[in-house]
Amino acid sequence: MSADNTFRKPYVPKVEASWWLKNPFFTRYIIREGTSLVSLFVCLELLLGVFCFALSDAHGDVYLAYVNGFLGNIVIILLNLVALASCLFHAVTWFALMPKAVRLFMNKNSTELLPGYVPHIGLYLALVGATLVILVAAFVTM
Amino acid sequence: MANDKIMKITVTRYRPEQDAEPFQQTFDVPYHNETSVLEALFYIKDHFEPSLSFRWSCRMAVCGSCGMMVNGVPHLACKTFLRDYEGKAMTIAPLENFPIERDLVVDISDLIEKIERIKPYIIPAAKDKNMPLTKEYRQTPQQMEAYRQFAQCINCGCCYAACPQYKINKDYIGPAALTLLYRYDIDNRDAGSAIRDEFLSSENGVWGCTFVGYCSEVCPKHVDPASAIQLGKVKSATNYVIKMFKPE
Repeated sequence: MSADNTFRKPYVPKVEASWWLKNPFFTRYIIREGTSLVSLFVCLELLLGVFCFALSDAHGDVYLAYVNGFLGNIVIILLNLVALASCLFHAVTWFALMPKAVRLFMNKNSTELLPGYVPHIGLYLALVGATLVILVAAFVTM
Repeated sequence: MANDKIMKITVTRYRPEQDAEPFQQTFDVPYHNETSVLEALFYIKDHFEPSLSFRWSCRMAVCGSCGMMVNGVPHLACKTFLRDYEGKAMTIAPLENFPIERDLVVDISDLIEKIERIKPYIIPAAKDKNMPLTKEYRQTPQQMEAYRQFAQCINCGCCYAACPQYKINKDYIGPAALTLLYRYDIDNRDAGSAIRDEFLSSENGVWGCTFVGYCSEVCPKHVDPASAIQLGKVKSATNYVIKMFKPE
């Protein structure tokens, strides 16, 4: 067929910047990805703490100023609470997806797959376990 | 059809020979309990707009021709029923993320090319090369069950319309093709894993996926492409580690 007798003119719609607002599923996904920004804040906060701690030998109360002045600030406390909530949101949505990455059979000959709730519950147990270990370690060293 | 209810259906139209861009057209379509979206489109074509174009063939979710966006969600028109949208308006648009050819017809040749690219057929091992055609490959029920679900794909393109990664990067191999790649990789009769690894492990292969998971949500055949891709990531990572210790 020559180009002369075709009316083909495929239309390619533009990708709008707001594509993720059109579907609640995508909005939830972008919020999940967006929690990484709050995690970045927590990482920088901890890094600052490490630096302040390293400096405290020479300059007496740098670390104390960090704890009382910076961490004690009401804005920082609120930001940390937001970070905790967003981290939990990420964990819950991520754990819900995780069974998709596990595909095991019940035994060597079975055609029955391991139910999805096993890895799902396993992740929650790991979360609770890790939290307990950290809390216990924190209080023991206090 | 005297006692039928009426639904307002807005359909995206695009006639390349006269339109610069798509536009919307609304119709009042009578429906009963069993009316599918595909039948509603037939009704519009028969009674209002004979030029309305859409793809269809089997009318029973086997051929994968009638994928389209119903209220913004990818669906097979034959497997979607007006009764489930009662009291709401309905908008029908062509599958997202594909070039629109005419009305509800999209050009899925990119999807077809990607499916061909990943070699979706059994590549026998060297030792089986001269196996007579009369001799069968053995497979246990478990070996079959391992890939059966991933072999149900009908290439309808709904997962590509649901994929934000494909939306922003058309080089991404995408859910259906990667699922098929994984399906052949784990088939015990197949030995083409090393050949397909080039596509599996590439940046536009499984690693192009950010696990949005919407492909699995919309798949009309419950293939669960997101699962196949995550399992593909496990396979790709394992291959990488093995190669570190066993260079060619």
